[in-house]
Amino acid sequence: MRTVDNAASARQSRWQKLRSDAALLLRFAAMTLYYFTEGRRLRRIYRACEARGEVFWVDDDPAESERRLR
Amino acid sequence: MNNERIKPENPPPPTYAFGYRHPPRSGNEINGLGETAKRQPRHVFHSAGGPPLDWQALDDFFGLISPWSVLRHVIGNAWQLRNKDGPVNDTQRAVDDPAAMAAEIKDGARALGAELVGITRVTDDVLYEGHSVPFKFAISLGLSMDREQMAHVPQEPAAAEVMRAYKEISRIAVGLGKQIRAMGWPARAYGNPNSTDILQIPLAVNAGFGQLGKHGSMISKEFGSNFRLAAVLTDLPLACDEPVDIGVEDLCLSCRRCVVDCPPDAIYDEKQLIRGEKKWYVDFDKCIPYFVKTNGCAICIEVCPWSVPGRGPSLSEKLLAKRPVAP
Repeated sequence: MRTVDNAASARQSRWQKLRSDAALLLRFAAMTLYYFTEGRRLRRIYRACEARGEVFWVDDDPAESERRLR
Repeated sequence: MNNERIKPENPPPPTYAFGYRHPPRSGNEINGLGETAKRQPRHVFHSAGGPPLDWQALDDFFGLISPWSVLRHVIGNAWQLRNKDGPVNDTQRAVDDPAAMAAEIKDGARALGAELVGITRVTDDVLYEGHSVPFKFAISLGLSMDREQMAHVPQEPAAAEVMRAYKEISRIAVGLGKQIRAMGWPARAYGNPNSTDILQIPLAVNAGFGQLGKHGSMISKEFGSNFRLAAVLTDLPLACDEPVDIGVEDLCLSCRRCVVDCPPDAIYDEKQLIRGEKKWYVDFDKCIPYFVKTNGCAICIEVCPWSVPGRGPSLSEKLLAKRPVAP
């Protein structure tokens, strides 16, 4: 048995809490960066597939779909 | 607009420029469609960590094609939920009267902004298979969405409103959890729309919010389906609420509004056998691609007659009054 939302934060000291908050902020920054870089590329390829009547494979490297568009 | 039924204008067709090169197992199979034995549900699509799910690739794609107006609320919600747990006060407040404590907690939740509050026990039927939680009670919370924004279903403003509502109700759940821990009782907020340990809808049904509708979503007398859920799990002794019958079955058996308005034709007109129980069910394999294409769709919950503001109480009264009286 496991729980995804574990109670680790209930036992954190103030310093540990600050560190985990900072780590979470960094994760969000990385997510946002990915959304605006790789995500933008993926959205561009997907829109191109949509316009050309092609299928964008969600379980494959976006480059594969891009190659098919050429 | 506020008191009218929402009619989606020109929803996009259920054709897709995305797909699987290697199709995953049917989501209906994972959900237990047609299974005769009772069992707990399994994660299919949304994930909050753990091993990759069968439909993970589509969920990842869903996240990356979501507009920034939606994603910023998702990030804001996740930031708030860093405080879902926290230190528990060493001095525990004694609880002699669980009913009085339940009333106090409900007042506290409403003061934080919750519009629906109900309490129930944590039972196996509200947990995903393989998951456990170290709490006895659940406080279910409901918050309505802005109907003006939801009138845009299935377009971006509605998707952003859904995630804004989740972010807001998470704030309430986190605040309530903090209040309970200050009383010396453990508590954990659950405000993530992505699947975690618990199923919010069965929890809310057990807590007396309303009933499951034909569209597979919760229907309450106050807001129909135009609301979002969160919960706080705790060991604080509380008097529980009971499930309610507001007449949802009576209407859903004859109403076909959501069935007709669903572009991918995903809503079954009759109850299906799901994990040993006959219940309303939405075809996962038809619904989810459209859900992804439209950043969260939500047509079915907004066209539902119960979702017209102010209509629920009179509708419930009429439906219950029509029932034949037992001799």
